[in-house]
Amino acid sequence: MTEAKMMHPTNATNLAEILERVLDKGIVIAGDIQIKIADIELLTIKIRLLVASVDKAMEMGINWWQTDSFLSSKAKEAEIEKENTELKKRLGKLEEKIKSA
Amino acid sequence: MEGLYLYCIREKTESAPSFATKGIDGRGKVFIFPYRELEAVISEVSLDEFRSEEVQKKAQEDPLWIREKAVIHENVIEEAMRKEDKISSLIPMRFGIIFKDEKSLEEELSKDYPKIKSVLENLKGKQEWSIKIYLKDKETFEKLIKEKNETIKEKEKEIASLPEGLAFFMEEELKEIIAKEINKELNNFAEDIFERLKDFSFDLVKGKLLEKELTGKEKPMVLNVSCLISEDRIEDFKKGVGALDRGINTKGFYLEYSGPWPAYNFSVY
Repeated sequence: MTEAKMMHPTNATNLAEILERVLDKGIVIAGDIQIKIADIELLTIKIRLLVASVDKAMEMGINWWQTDSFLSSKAKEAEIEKENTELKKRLGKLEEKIKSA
Repeated sequence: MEGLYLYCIREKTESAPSFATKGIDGRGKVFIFPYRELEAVISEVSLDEFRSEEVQKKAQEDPLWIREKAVIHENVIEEAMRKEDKISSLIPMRFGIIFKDEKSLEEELSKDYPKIKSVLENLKGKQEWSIKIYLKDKETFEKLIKEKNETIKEKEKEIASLPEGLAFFMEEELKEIIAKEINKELNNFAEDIFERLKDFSFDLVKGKLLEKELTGKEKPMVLNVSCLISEDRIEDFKKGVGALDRGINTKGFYLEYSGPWPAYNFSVY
């Protein structure tokens, strides 16, 4: 029986959860400068793509995937490669969509 | 030129106003700007580095930069929210709100003072928690639905009574019906869970369903809820979530919950 998985915000393991809140929620008080981040979803996908390159992530000390069984197995590397290609395709489409918008 | 980056606003505290976390630029000291019974948590930033156009450009060219900034933003607020084991309520800002000087910040705090006070009052003694439900095993859920869904069962009966040639064409129609019914049942399931979470929550709000590309998870998200929970009900909530998870496990789902979060989803004014 698997217990509900409790994750702590400060672990900063869940990138999507942090970005979802910090970039999209919270109060927008009228500052002198208000930075608007255009497409948070696209941004998150880009970040994931970058982090999917494991060596680069290691170099930067990012290790969230180590807790993610889906990514942790060596045997899954081929699958990651496939997913990477798929994501790049989707990213390309999204970028086109944004350009034409 | 230096500006002031605003992280959050909280009620005046007794604690020494020093922060271990470095500011959004990775260098600046995080400090407190007091205003009446409030404290704004801020740090100095270079206005050249944090110009809106500059940040947008950076976000496009170097997404890891924005990731790093978002995490710092969150970490500062987490530190402002915690004192030893105690969680205090505060109003978290969205990323990227900057004032040119203290005078300008003070003017804004003065202007919004009643609204800020009322939001803080509403959040007092409450915590934001997040619950996300994923479809772990599609087959299990589909099997359950097929067994008890009347629309599907009727269609199957109808097909069974038909001569073989005709039945073949009806199979396609059945597949469509099944897909539609499963979608409907999935919505009902999510609605039902949302209703049940109301029992534990002072307030709750549905978030967007995040795609797999965003969550980095293998399984699709079917429900994303943020709950505002009274402190004295947190233990009930955790127990409830545990029971909920066991209940949905047999139907092919699992859940993940996290918290306490700064009240990003309940600080609207």
